[in-house]
Amino acid sequence: MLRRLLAWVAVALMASGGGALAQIDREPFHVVFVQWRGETEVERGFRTHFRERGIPAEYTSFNLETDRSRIPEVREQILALQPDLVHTWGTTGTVGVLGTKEDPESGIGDIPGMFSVVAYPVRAGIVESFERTGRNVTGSTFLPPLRTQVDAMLTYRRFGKLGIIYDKSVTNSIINVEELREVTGELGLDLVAVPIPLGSDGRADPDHLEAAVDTVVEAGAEFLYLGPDTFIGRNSSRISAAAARHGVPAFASVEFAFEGSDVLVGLISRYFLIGKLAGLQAERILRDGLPPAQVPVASLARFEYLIRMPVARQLKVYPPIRLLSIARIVE
Amino acid sequence: MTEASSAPASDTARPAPAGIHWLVRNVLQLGALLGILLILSQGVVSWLAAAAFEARLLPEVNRQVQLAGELAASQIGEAVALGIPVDKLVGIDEFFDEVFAQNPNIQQLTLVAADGDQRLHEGMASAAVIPDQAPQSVVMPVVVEGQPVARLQVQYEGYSAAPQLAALRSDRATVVIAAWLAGLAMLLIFVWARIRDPFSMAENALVEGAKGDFTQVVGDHQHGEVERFGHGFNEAVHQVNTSFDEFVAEAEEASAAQFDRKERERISDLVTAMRARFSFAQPLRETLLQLSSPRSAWFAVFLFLLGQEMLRPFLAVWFSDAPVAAHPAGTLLGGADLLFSQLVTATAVAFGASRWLRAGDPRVFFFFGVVVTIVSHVGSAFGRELASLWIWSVLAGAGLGAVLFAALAAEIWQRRERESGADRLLTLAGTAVVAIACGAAFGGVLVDRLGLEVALMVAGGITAVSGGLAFVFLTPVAKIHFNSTEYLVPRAGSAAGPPAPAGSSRPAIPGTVLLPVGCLAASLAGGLYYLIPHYVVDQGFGLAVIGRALLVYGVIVVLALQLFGSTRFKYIHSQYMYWFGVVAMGAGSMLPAFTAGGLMSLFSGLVLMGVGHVAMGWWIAGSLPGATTNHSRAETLRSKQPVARLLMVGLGTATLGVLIAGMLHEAVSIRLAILVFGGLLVAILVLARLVGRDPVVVGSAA
Repeated sequence: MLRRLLAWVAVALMASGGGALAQIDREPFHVVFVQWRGETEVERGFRTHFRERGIPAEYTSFNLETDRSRIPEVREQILALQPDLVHTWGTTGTVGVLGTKEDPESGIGDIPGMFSVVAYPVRAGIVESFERTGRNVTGSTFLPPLRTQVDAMLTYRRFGKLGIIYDKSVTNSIINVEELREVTGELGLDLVAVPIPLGSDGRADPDHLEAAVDTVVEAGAEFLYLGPDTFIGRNSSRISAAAARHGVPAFASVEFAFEGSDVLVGLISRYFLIGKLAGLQAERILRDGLPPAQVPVASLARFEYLIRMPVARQLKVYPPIRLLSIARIVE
Repeated sequence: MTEASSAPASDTARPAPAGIHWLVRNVLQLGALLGILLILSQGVVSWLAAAAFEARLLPEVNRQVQLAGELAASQIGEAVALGIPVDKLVGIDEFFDEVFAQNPNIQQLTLVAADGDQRLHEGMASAAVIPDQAPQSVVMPVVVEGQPVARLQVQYEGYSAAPQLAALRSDRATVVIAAWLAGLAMLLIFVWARIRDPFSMAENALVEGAKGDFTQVVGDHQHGEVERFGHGFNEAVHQVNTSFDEFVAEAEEASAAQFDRKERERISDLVTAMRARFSFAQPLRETLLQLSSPRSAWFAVFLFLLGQEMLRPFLAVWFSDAPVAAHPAGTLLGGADLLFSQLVTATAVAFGASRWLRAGDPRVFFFFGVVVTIVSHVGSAFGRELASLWIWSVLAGAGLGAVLFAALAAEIWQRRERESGADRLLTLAGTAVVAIACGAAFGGVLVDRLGLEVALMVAGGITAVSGGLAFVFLTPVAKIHFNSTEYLVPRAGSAAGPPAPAGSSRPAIPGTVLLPVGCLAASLAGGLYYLIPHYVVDQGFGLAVIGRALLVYGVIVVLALQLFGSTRFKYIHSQYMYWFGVVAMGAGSMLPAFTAGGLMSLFSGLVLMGVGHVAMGWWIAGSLPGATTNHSRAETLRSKQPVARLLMVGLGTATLGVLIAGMLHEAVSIRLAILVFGGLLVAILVLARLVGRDPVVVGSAA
């Protein structure tokens, strides 16, 4: 009798928690992180989501150290490892490792791919559309819509001329400037766009940053926009400080460009939340078995408005009182 | 034996029997008494509830103002704590506006320096009203790190809830009074349709029988007491006819058996005298009694008008919000539905829709109008472009025209008995005005409290119900009459109808009547329906006030109709009536322009305007051939022709009135527009009287 009862309990357990038992029993998923400039909150958010959901996973990280010449080598290693999923960070790393829809052979074959912190995945050729990626790849965007970004600046302070300096060697930046020109045109604003001269290595030369800012300010820009590319982000401190010396406030749309700089206003997606969103998508691919082509490119619905008060006081450009109740004040 | 006594009963003119009036009057008085008791009880309950509500509400208002002030002061304090100088606060006006929007009781906010009276920032609510009492104020210190850096003075109306409560009470009173009036009007229609008309017809039958006319029996469309009476009456008529036949047969037999010539002649004279004294017929005609009076159809028309007027007074304001309002074609939108209702009615009359209607069914016309009207209302709610608004206005006009035509047809072709023209006019005009006024009153409250979309839905529902009622009430009588050749419209050279009196087959409209008709219609459409709603909105009142104003106007019109009706048309044709109408109309139209704001001037103006409109309308009615006299259906049909043509003139000038009022409103301030518009009407009316001649009156008083 007792044996029969135990048998029933076993059957019931298998029926109710069979999936969980099977999950515990299976091999951990192997996830590869391809980082552009080392570990960020994105990867931490990803891991946190998997941990909270009880999804076993092992992680291997490759740091490109902002050197695109390392991409082929990393790709070879990934192909040799044959992980369950590859997650890339940033447009350059994503295009290099996962390839584009025109050149899928340059990617990682049948291994499912995911990207984060890519501003324009369609225009960069990574996916066909947000709804149907058309490839074994999906991911998430992190930028607030450009119109929302400009509105955020206008909410802080009315202006007629917006300035931007950008890295013309990066596709992402060029796309950003084109779209910004469109949005400012719709709003009746002028745009002053100044490319940073390239160095002998064909990349933007940091030595010309201050001069580029001076050019923008002399052209009458009243607000400086820092685009979502890595070069600008890494040098945001110098750029925003140069603008502040002229009394011009700066705006950033990515977290790493805002942090540690003299940028006055930011409208950003938190990297940690972007990482958790990526984890949610990875869960659908790995645990639910959906092919990446059937997982639409996602984006966060909420953004954070940041105001750096020391810069506001320094420039004497104070935030409207209503913004104080919705913004995160950074001292 | 006289010609009159041997003629068919329906050709004899006679006022409605006094007994029926007594019955109607008593039922209506009972209804009015019940309504007054209902209003009184509602008033007492409302007063008690409001007093209890107020006692709890006012302290709550004060508490909320305190909380709002503290919150605002603390937000300012937070900004200052972040290093923003208190005199350099950015976006303070928008911040104050937000506070005003969230706290309607707060009238003014002033940020004052902590160390003096220097005003740093000041804001006033855009919707601030001049308080009856001195505003109260509280002062909230703006504190940063324990030190006061400024003071925020919050001025508020301590009894600012009182106007809101008063508005609520007014709305409730409006709805109760309008419901009472509408109920009374429906009771009147009910009494006419279900009691007065059937009993009046029954009485007529008895009178005709008493006079010796046994040629007619009643139809079998009755119920209850009327049905039993009908059966009894028919039985009696059959018995009399049978007895007479037997008497004639016996008399002829007796005459044939008589050898004496004198005796035979005596019997023959007796039979001849019997035939002369009484009217007998085989087979008998079913023409006397019908339970379904034409007034039943007025249930449907009443509801239709009620639904229509829930929206019409607010459309002018609604259209003025549309981006097309500045366009001249957009201004004309306010009268477009009237224009197109005129076109549809005129087209229906001109192109033989009446003949088709006799062969067909007026329900189709009515239902078509209802469906088109509902579609147009729904379309108006969503369309904001000029082209689409025009389409919906055209459809609204087509719907109104179709319903008006069906109602006109029902009223004319379904009339069976002779009745007092004055009574009929009073009943129809009175119930129509009540429907218009009550619809506006209900609509105003609905639009103000719940929005035009909800009012559209409610109006659509009522309109749909009116369509259903039309199906119920129009069918039976229509079939009976449309199958009879007796009631066909008399045409020139046609033998179908009764012969028309000489010289009255196509009575003309007196020329001097045309201008007053036009001014009356223009005053209604351009003044009452266009300028008054804009005036109310311009003065900052809610849309419910428009409905309330029209309710006041409606009540006055009904009272004035009764007043002028009770004079038995003594002064109807007199110059006094005309000039009284001109003065009252002019003064009423222009009064709001002379006095600064306030509802009293508006309502006083509407009272005068209503009295003036009725006086002018009564004068016009008295100047029309046969409009207010007792007459047969054939005469009614003939008299309707000029009236229908006059209606067309009125609708046309109504459209013109809206256009002129709209252009004036665009060009000058609303008060000046009211003044100019009223002055223009008075000038035309005076001119019309000075250069015109007295109309030739064809009809005579009842």
